[in-house]
Amino acid sequence: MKDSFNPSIEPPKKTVTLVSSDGYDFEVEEEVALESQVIKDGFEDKAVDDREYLLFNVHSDTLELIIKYCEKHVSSRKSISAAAASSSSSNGEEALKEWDEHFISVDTNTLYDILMAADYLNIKSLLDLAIQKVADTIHGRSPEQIRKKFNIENDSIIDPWASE
Amino acid sequence: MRNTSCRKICPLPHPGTPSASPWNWKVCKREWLEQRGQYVEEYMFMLQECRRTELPLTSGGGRRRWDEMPTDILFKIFLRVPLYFLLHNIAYVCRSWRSSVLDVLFPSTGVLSLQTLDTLPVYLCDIYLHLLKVLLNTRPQFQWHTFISPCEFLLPYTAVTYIAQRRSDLSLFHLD
Repeated sequence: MKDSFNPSIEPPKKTVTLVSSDGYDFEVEEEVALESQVIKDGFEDKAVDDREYLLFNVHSDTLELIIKYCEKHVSSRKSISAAAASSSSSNGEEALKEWDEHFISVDTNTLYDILMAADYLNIKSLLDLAIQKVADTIHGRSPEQIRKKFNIENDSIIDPWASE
Repeated sequence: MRNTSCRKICPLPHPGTPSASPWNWKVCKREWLEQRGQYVEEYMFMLQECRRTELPLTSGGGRRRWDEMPTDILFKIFLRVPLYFLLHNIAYVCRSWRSSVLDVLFPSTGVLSLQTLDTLPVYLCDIYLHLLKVLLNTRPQFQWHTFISPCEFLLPYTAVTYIAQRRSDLSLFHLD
């Protein structure tokens, strides 16, 4: 009976089920899923036992990465604010930035999947990260190199210099 | 690699049975969805699309089409690329990318401002005007009410007439 007054015992964590396009269920903590603005919108209106989301545009491989990203961000946000509260110096934000950089260093196919999923789920920080990565990848390459890198067909845009 | 806190549970009764061909697997999936009674129509459409294009059901193995990426995402990407690079390289990657470059260069605010030309080196001004020409020819629905000419860059007479001929709806001319 006293347990209910003991703050060190946390209530069981609420979870949300995310279903990938190829039919896998991912059970994640509520706050992790709420990183997605799409899930956040209207989340409260949904019945607690109906918190299941079918994500038709997200493959399980991508969803796993996305969840990893959200979990990391939720946990480091907590540790950063805890460090700020105890006014101890922390390099949490820098470490997270480094982690992000490592996370997004993937091949172009995976980058595409992450980009589309972040857009679909509306996870702003991840979308930003992926967009910046694409911009960095594009930068400094010739059109031919870009086409090769991103597997784009040349639909014969005429170079103004060639035409005149 | 698997994260402990996200359990990956297969919803299908026997996903790994050797008799189940990939297509049967998808049928199983459909039944499973029907039981749940959600989004079946959407899902059936996807199944048909996959069958038609012979792509795998999921995005996992399909070819990623960077050239068919939604224009709003391309727009956000190109906003973070320097202007000279947009003009010189990205506008010549493919048609859809160039179309998004045009969105970045000439936002649809109703005002056509060519004052960017003042800041560009001469060789890029040529490309800029060339892209404006492309825009004028490919998007007749694009509306402008005001035209602002560059201050220092001497806009060729031909360019002014070119714009005026194709945009009779322009009512205000700012010639600084």
